[in-house]
Amino acid sequence: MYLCWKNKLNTMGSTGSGSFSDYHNYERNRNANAEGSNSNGGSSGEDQCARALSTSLDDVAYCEYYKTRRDLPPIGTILSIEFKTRLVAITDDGLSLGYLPTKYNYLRACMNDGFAYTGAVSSSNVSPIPSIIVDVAPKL
Amino acid sequence: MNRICIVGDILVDVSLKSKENPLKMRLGGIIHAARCLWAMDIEYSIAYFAPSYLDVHIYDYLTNHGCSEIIKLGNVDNCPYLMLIEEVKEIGDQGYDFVLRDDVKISYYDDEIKKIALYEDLFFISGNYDYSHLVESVSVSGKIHLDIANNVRDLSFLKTAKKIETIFLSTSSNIFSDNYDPDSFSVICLFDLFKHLSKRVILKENRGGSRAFDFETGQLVQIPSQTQKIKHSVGVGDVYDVVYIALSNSKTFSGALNYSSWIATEYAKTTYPSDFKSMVLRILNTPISEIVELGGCILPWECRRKCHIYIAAPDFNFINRSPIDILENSLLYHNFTPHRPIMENGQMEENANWSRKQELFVKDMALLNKCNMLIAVLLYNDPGTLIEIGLAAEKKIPTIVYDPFCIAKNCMLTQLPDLLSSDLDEIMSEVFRLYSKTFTSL
Repeated sequence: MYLCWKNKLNTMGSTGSGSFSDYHNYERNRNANAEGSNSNGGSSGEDQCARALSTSLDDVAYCEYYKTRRDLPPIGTILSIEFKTRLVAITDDGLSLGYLPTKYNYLRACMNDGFAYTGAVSSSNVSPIPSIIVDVAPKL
Repeated sequence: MNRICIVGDILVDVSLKSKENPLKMRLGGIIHAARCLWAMDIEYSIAYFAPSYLDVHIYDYLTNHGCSEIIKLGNVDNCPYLMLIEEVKEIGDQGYDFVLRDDVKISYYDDEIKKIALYEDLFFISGNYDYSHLVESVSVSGKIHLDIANNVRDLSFLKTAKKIETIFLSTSSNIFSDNYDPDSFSVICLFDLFKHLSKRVILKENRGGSRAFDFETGQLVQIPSQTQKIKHSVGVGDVYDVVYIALSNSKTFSGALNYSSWIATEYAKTTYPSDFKSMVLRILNTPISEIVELGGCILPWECRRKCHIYIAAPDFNFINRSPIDILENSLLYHNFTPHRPIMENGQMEENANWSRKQELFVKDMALLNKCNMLIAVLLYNDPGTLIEIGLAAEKKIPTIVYDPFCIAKNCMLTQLPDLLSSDLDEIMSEVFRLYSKTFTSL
């Protein structure tokens, strides 16, 4: 009887929201056919520390590379991310290129958990203001 | 016995399906704070009000998430305790709909209420229940922490109670808006309202950080937010509070609040509890000195009014302007000062003569020069909008392009602005980030 009623509801266009699913130990695909199931489960299966990113750097004109050379590195220059009071992109020869925007501060917590980040310059322009865009990924 | 007991309503949060997000249903109310203590590996207790149909779900959920004692303080009748949430990210007003709110009837279990007196830290999150009834019914020896973000307009109910350890409020609370006068506001005057009621008061300012005051030491602190792209903002304020309460015995005032800010952001970035927990544990393993050095976004509520934002768009009365309306409302919600030039200076008539065109041009340029930022809304490739983007960028006015229909292809358009995005949440975060660069903290 219950099942009949439930089926009737579904044929009337009601999908329902199933059950509470955000348990840390909830099986992600337990209710795979339900609407919204993509947002269910305890884990997304993705670690944000393992994500690559692309960003422009802050304060390039005030960092060592531009200040000492009055120039910027070419596209493809290898860099790593280090913590020096802020998260900073550093070239292989130890010169700071610019800071990561503060929205990436969480990477410091990732670094303290063993992640390391390297990358390359994907764009650099001295004019109209010194600016650098970098691609960064966790080191495998 | 564990130290912290969270007291308040438990309801069902339903984030409605949108273009970007599927429907999501979670236990809400004080469960957000509970989730956080579980993520921090801190044992806790819950004392709650809810309708009886939720009891089995609450018990099952909490026993799976680190709760050692569950006390039901009263039953809710006549109302499903169901919150429909239209817009989860607090880009603007979130459109909360509390189903059958006016019919809520609560019966109190006085024998159960006596049990909460034993806790060292009681965290009351305001809701539909009578806070005074609870505090007067028991002789509380521990510390009381109270969040008055919801349903509180009048502080007189606090005067009969024992002095509170911490009061939390936010810029979206009634207490704040009732006491905010744009012409004379000072945060110290706001905090003075709580001088005889609590030892510490904490004002949460959404993406612009938070400020807090300790009445015993006279210490005023300002904590940056970790403003970034989020998934939702439901319960984030409660998470902020409970982190502070959990760490206030072991960290400094500002140290505990800095961790609050970081962990609250992580809560806003996901609805997956295990993802949240792994980031929380990483943050707690990061030394406070590093957390403080890294900084973030500081933009106090009252300072945002000075941020005049020119909305460049084909804001004509013969087209669908809803993306412009939504942007304007979001900026107003966060206390910025948006300007819609066509609304302010007039819409050019089809047969306008040279002198009329010149008049409108001069007025629009004067307005642009007065503004600190430009946000263009690309509804289509409107020449006026495109020219204003170029002008603003050349004048070094921070320039953002909101492209709700993803039509920008031209490289001048994609490369010139500080940000091009179809995501209004990202646009709002960038407004905070760009304007906060011009602001000097306390």
